[in-house]
Amino acid sequence: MQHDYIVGETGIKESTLDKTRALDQFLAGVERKAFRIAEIAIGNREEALDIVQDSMLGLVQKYADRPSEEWTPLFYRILQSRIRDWYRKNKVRSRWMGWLGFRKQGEDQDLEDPVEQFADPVSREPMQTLANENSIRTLEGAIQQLPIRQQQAFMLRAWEGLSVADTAIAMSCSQGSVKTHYSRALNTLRTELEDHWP
Amino acid sequence: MNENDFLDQVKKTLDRQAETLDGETLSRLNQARQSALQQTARNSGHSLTRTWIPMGGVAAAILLSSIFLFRAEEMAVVSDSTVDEIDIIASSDSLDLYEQLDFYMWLLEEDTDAV
Repeated sequence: MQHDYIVGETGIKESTLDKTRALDQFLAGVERKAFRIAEIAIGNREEALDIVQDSMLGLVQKYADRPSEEWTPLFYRILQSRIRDWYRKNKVRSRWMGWLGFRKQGEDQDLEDPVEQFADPVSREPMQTLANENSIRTLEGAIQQLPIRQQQAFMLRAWEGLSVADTAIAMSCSQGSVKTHYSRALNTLRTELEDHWP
Repeated sequence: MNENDFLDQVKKTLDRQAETLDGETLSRLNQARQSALQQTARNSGHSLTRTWIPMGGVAAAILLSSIFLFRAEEMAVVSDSTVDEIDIIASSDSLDLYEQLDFYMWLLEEDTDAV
């Protein structure tokens, strides 16, 4: 009887370990893209990191017991929800700050970051580096100009490679809406970037 | 550039940026992941609790039912004598008859012997 109990407890521990390992692999696989999606969406590194951490916690707390195939759309659903929450809060905060006559933090900080003035210690061809950085900044700028729903649809479909159905789950909308948002985003980006990427 | 080439270029550009994130950001992401994973252990502890609490509840319910049934039998036994007492009180005979029952029983025996 006691032996059965010990075996049962060990089984529970093993299954917990397996689940933890699977979650670790999953989160390690999506964390960089999730961070970049959040950072591009809100334009703030620290808050993007907080949003990714919240999303990871949300997945573990709510959906860890769900089949691992469902984790990707569910994780991005939480991430997109957190990004939308951030937009809502920021909108309210901006209104209040504007009404009270305060300027947004950073508006007076147009000075260049001294860290950026240091040379890159990794030896790379300067022209290649410049081309890469320009390419990234141009693309980021164009994506940031998109309405948030188009931005979400484009990043999830084009970069993360989610299907229309999974993107619809992640965005909490219909598949038709995903197609519309994605198509509009693609057209806008192609128009915006055609001069940079001939 | 056709659509597929454009998307390929977008993907490569974004991938390149994600692959070259600075060390501090990677460290923060790792910390965030570890912090979230600790929650799994806590959740599994909760799931154990969630298993044991209903089992304990069922055991307690069975125990209470057994006690109730046992006590019900006792109450049934007690109720027989209670019914007798109620019959006496409710009967139309005078209570004196019952209080002096020994005397009446003796008188009855005396009459029987005399016969």
